[in-house]
This record gives sequence, structure tokens and C-alpha cells, in this order.
Amino acid sequence: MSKITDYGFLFQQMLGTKNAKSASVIGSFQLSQLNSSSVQAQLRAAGIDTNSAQYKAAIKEMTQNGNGAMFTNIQCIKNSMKCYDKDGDYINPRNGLAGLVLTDENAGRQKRIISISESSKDEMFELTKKEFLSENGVLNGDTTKRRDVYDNLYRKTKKDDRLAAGYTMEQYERAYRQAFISAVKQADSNWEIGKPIPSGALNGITRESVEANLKKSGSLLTQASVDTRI
Amino acid sequence: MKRVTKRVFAAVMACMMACLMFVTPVLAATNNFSKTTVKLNAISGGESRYSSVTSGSVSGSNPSITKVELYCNVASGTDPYTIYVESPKGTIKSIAGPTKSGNVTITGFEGENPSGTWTIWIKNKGVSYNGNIYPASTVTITLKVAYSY
Repeated sequence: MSKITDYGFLFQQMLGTKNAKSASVIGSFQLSQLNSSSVQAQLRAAGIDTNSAQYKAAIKEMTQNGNGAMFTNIQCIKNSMKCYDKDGDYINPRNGLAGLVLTDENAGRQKRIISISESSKDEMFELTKKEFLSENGVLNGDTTKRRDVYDNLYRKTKKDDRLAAGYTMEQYERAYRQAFISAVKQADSNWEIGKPIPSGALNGITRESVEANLKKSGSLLTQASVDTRI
Repeated sequence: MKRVTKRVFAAVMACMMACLMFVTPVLAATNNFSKTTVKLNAISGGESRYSSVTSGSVSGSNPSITKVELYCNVASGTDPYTIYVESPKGTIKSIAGPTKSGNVTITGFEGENPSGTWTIWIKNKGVSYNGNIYPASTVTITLKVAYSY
């Protein structure tokens, strides 16, 4: 079946008969003209699916300012659409993952404890311990690899649960760190963050021992007690 | 009358002592860090390159973000754009970028651990006021994160 495409807008532009008000530069049109048959034909001719969630997300961003007199063009719409996935969710250009933009709509769903990958918890426990020992308990934001652990967790988690998974993981991360601090203070009551950690102070701490003392309290994981016996 | 005044005075003093003993230790210490991105340019509905800044050493045993503020140094004639800020944990917040230089507060990161790499980029909205075929946005952003510990 042959595909019929309306290229009428090109002739209109060549002959200068197109509404001069809505087109200042060839190919540009005002946002208020988006739903006109002429612009819709241009979009279709350019291969843009105006029913797609990507298109709707791109147009939503463009019209955020609510000014229909502003101009756009096909290439801008296409570029903008590339930033969203098929569901219209924004894709993080750094890691290619969607579902991590916090909005007013999904903020309520973020703060909940969900089941997360055991291997990611393992990875976080080991990293927290390694960095705690190498930095003497200081949180060194210049060298930490904690973001890598979160990225790996998100890759293992379905899109709609990624925000909650990150929130849950942070609760575990804090619990591991607090357990390490308690253990070192038990080994040396005068210890302060930044001072050398007594050798073997963390030997008795395992991920399981920390998590066994965690209890869910609303949207938080709280420590019932810390067992730091060695 | 004198006895009543004395009792009221004693009660007030007792309250003050109680406040000093129990409330003061609860008040957490605060700190902040501030970092500036490279110049971010985005055109035609596309994204700029992303700029990563690190927090440096973060104080305390259990730090928690209380406020995130951005100072945007906007180039003149910049077309509309969106700012994206990603915390070390990977949470992203977006806000419409200001058209003139100034401060904007960004909410949603409160309670997170501020330690690590923050990533900031902009996305040109793909619209212009005057029909530019290549709408463009240019801004340099300073991130200021306040936290308690």
C-alpha cells in the first residue's frame, strides 16, 4: 500500500502563501499552531508519531511556559523526543536509565521500603566498610564510589520501583555506617571520626548481623539494637 | 505576692535549665559545600553535556541534606531551558531554568546523604521567542548544598 504524504506546506513556503505570522523562519512555527492541519502534516511527514508518549512529553515541556506565541520546529521536537522513553519518562543522559526523576506526582511513592537485590546490599555493605576503613570514618565525597552501587541497583530494578529502591538502599547504607561507628567506639571509646580505626574493630560486623537488628518503622528502617560483640 | 513572684521566677529558671539540658543536644550542627559547573550549552531541544561536581569531605556520622540551592549565571538572550540536578544517590530533580541570573531553590533532596558526585545539566526546551531555527541556552550553575549532621 502506497504511503500518501502531504507536502503542501513545502509549496506554501516556496510560494510565500503560508501564514506569515505563524512562520518567521522556514520550518519554524508557533506553538499555538501545533494542532493546525498544516503543522500536523509536517510532523507526520517528518515521521513523528503525534500520539506517542515521547511526543506528548516533549510538547508538555515546550508548552510549560504557556506561551503559544513561542516558536519551535521539527528538529527541536525530534531532539526533545529523544530525551524520553516510549512511556514518556525522561532518560538520564549519564546512565541511560529512566524512572529516577522525582516529581510532585511520584514523591509519595518514593519514600517506602521495598525488597531490593541482595547482591546490591552486599555491594553496598562491602563498599561502605572499605571506604569507612580507608578514610577513617570520614565521608569523602571526592573519592566515594557509592553512586556506582546505586546505578547497579537501578539497573536491576524495574523502572517504577527505582526511586523507592534508592530510598531503601540509603536506609541500609546508613544502618551499615552506624553499625561500623558503634563497633569502633566499642573498641575505643575515645575514637572520633577521622582518627585511626583500631585494627580488627569491624571484624565481627557482617551484613546479616546489621540487618538482623533492623526493623521497619513506617517508611524508615530503624536499628533495634546494635550487637557489636566480637 | 513576693512569694508568688519568687515561685514564678524559679519555674521559669527550671524551664530554661530543662531546655538547655534536653533541647540543645538535639539541635544538629550544620555545614554546606558549594561547587560550580562548567559552562552548559544546549541547543534545539537537546541536552548540554553533563557536569559532575563532588561534595568533598562531608562532616559528621549521619549527614542529611537540608537545602539545595542553585545560583544560575545565565547568558543574555538565552532561550527557555530546564535544569536537571542528580544527587549522588541518583535522584533527579528538574526545574525550569531562570531567564535571568539569580538563585533558585530546588526541593526533593532533603534527608539524603550529600556525600559524593552531583551531576548537573540543562536541556534546551526547543522553543524561542523570535523564531530562531536553533534555540540556544547557556548557563553556568553553582550548586550549594546545606546539610545537618
